[in-house]
Amino acid sequence: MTNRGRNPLLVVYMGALLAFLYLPIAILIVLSFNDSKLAMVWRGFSLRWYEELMHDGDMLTSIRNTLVIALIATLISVVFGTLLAFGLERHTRSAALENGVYLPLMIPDVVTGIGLLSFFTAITFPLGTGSVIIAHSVWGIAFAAAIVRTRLRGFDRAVEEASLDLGMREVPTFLRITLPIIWPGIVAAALVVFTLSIDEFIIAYFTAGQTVTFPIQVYSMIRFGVTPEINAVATIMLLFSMVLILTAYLFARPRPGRRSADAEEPTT
Amino acid sequence: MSSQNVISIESAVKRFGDVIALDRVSIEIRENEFFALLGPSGCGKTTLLRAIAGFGVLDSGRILLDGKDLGHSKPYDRPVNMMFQSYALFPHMRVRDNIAYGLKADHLPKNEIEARVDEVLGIADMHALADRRPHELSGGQRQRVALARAIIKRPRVLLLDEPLAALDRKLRQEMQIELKRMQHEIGLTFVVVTHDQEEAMTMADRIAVMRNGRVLQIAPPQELYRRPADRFVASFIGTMNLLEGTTVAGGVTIPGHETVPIDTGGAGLGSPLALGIRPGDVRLLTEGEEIDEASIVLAGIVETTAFIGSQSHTLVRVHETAVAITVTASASTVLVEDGSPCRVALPYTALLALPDPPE
Amino acid sequence: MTASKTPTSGAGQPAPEVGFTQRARARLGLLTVVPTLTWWVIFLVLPIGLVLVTAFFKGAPYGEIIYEPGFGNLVRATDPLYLGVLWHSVVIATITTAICLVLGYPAAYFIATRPQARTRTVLLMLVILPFWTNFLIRTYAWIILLNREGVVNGILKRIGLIDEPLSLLYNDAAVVLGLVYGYLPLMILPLYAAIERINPQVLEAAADLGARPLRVLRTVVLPLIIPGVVAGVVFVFVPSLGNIPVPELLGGGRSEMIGNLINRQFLTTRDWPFGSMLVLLLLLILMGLLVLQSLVLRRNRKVRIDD
Ligand SMILES: Nc1ncnc2c1ncn2[C@@H]1O[C@H](COP(=O)(O)OP(=O)(O)O)[C@@H](O)[C@H]1O
Ligand SMILES: [Mg+2]
Repeated sequence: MTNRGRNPLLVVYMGALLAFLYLPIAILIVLSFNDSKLAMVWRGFSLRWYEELMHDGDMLTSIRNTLVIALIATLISVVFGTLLAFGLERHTRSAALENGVYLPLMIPDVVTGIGLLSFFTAITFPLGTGSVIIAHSVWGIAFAAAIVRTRLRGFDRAVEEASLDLGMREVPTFLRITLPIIWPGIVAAALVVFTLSIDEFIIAYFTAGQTVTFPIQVYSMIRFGVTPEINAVATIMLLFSMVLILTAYLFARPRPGRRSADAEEPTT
Repeated sequence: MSSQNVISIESAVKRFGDVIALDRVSIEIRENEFFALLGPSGCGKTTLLRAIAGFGVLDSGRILLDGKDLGHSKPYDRPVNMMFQSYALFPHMRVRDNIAYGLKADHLPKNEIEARVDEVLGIADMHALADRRPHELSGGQRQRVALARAIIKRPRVLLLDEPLAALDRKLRQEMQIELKRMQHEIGLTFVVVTHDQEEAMTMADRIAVMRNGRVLQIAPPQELYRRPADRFVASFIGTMNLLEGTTVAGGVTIPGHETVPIDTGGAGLGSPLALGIRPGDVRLLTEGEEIDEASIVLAGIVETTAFIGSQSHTLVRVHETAVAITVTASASTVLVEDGSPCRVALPYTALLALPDPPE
Repeated sequence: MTASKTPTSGAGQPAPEVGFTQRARARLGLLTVVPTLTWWVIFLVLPIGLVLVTAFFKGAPYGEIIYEPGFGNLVRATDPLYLGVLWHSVVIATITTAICLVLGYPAAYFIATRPQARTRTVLLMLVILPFWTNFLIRTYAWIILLNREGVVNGILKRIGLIDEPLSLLYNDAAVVLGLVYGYLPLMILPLYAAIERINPQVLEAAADLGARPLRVLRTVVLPLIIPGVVAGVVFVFVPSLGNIPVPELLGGGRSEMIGNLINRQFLTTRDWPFGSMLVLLLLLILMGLLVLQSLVLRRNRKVRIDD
């Protein structure tokens, strides 16, 4: 670690690793524009698989289901998660709670999925959109809480006090000061949970019943074999997720300038 | 309680678990006064300031504003504003909106808000920066915005928590004078917290010296310097030479010397009491020189001499007790080499009896 | 998402009270935490509890559950057939984790030692980004590459290395490859965070105080990195062990893992009690892992104090 300069071997390695991570995806994207059905035959650029996709009723239904699930699960997760983040950051002093909060993220998807399948069946809760929404909110809340919390941690509470001191009551203080400052964290949380929800397969697979979500649709298509249509839909999904996550990152990123306004705090 | 007291703090007590942050603090602050709370870090200054602003409920005691008990009233119901130690500027608002915030909270008409913001921007000389956000400002500029935001409501009392601590030395000295000028100009009562005695001495009309949650002395700067109440205040405000002594009938004795006749302020006989003397009052005697004033004369050895400006500061190590005595004199009069034996004279009239501060 | 350093503003300064009384604060605390906790008790704790209980009942043909408690499922699970799958899963997950560690460490080290913060952020982002995309699609990408008419076979044939397509899919190696591809970012992230925390000045200071390189490694570097390694191991091992789609799609049923077994019990065979028992065993293995984790971390802390 002492010679922090460039080690050419490591540079090459890093390049290879990134190639390993991105090449498969890149090939998939390229093939989605291949007019030919065969991977090894390039018949020219074409959007025909995307067109075909547009007319695939099952696919469109599954996308609609997934969007509905993701939107509602995100809403629940962000509301509960933000509350939880506030509670943990400001109102409780419980180590058990602190650690327990991240438990939902540690439990393997199969376990959560099977658990909810058994539970919903036992209480005869109909499996479908509703059950998947609940299932996704279970880990969504934990994610949202974690993300909002990082934002709260850098929060100088003197800013809220200044607002009270200047004559603003508690609720307007929350709306005019607290919320605008942590807002980027909430948006980032929403984007992350949304992204995870539209991509989530296992838990949905167990709890969706007859409802087909987008990943379930993709799964059954893949099981039938490689088709260019999957390449097309995969390309759309990959790019969509990446855009969402990069946006979330831009929101969550602590802006150095912004932060320093309240970080320059003498230590007395 | 006199009617011109804006704030009266009566026996305020505040505990945080085992820590007593405020221990029976009583202070009266007068109209248009520049009042400083001075003390080392952790002595309870911020706690007291926050209690006045309405943050943190006192365990016991009262705070009166214009004779009325503030009780448990909320910060937003008190005609008092605070400039926070961290400035606490609203990061998502422009300078103009930061300053206007307090007036908006009072639902003043738009044109009045604009007029007053413009006026305050003028006082703080910040027109050019009005549309910037806090992160686009320098430390000094942020400080001015925080100040402007706190004075715009013309509070009965302006509370400033270490207002200059985050500034560099030069800017701090400029701002000390600037703050004082502003206070004069707008005619507000200022309560400033600081741990810097020089700063307090420069700016304040009166100073309360605090330690471990207690107020040790409240006095104007000059009096604090001349008549410190105890050895803590004495050493905290400027430099003080201390000789350990014991109270006897009619004065104080220090080992090997006759009794110094001095008012011991009711300290019990036989109790330890220090004698203090400012470096400027000590005389360095030349070989064979006698002194006609009644003095304690101690023999010792010159350790070092430092020249600062037109003054010399000489450190003399006294033989018997190994106490170091600082002597300040005009640079031209002292010509003693390091290591040479010497004598110092401590005139009785310049000696102060200094008890231990209350624990 | 990135291991950004939050400014320590207000650290050490006790939390201010913002005019709330102790009581009001406690009430607010309840209000913020209770809804979620209730939600989790109902939709996480109860369901998992239910599975654990079901594991001790009996399954009947046609999916019924016979509510007679017993250890029948546990006995059945010790059948070499099932134990084999369990063991196979552990082996696959362990190999996956080990490969991720070996591949991930140099990358994490490289990223953490870039002098410019911007470079670090961009590289880290590049490494993490695939993780946020659809796992199935990333798995599917390997089918495109590796199947008999796939890209790899195509290339090999074209450059004349082979005449007949190789069977690259549907074996353990393909499964491990898929898992590594899927979870490598989860290893790099904590490793990066740990390495980045090591201040090069600390190392120089240690060397300056006369510590020989090996000693520096043992007393300074390892204790700081081990928590990152442990976190990475857990992050990769857990989702690998219970994975369903990768063994299904890249293993083609020839490399069955416990997730597939559970899946079959619930959705095909419909023997829920036995499936539940398998879930219980899966959880037990993971619990063992967590115990191991805390043991390692405790030992690690001791090393640091001892020296
Ligand atoms: N909210 C709090 N919780 C616990 N202890 C506190 C709190 N606020 C202040 N204290 C303690 O009370 C004492 C006085 O603090 P403070 O008023 O901030 O001192 P000062 O401003 O003079 O440096 C310190 O010992 C500090 O640690
Ligand atoms: Mg303070």
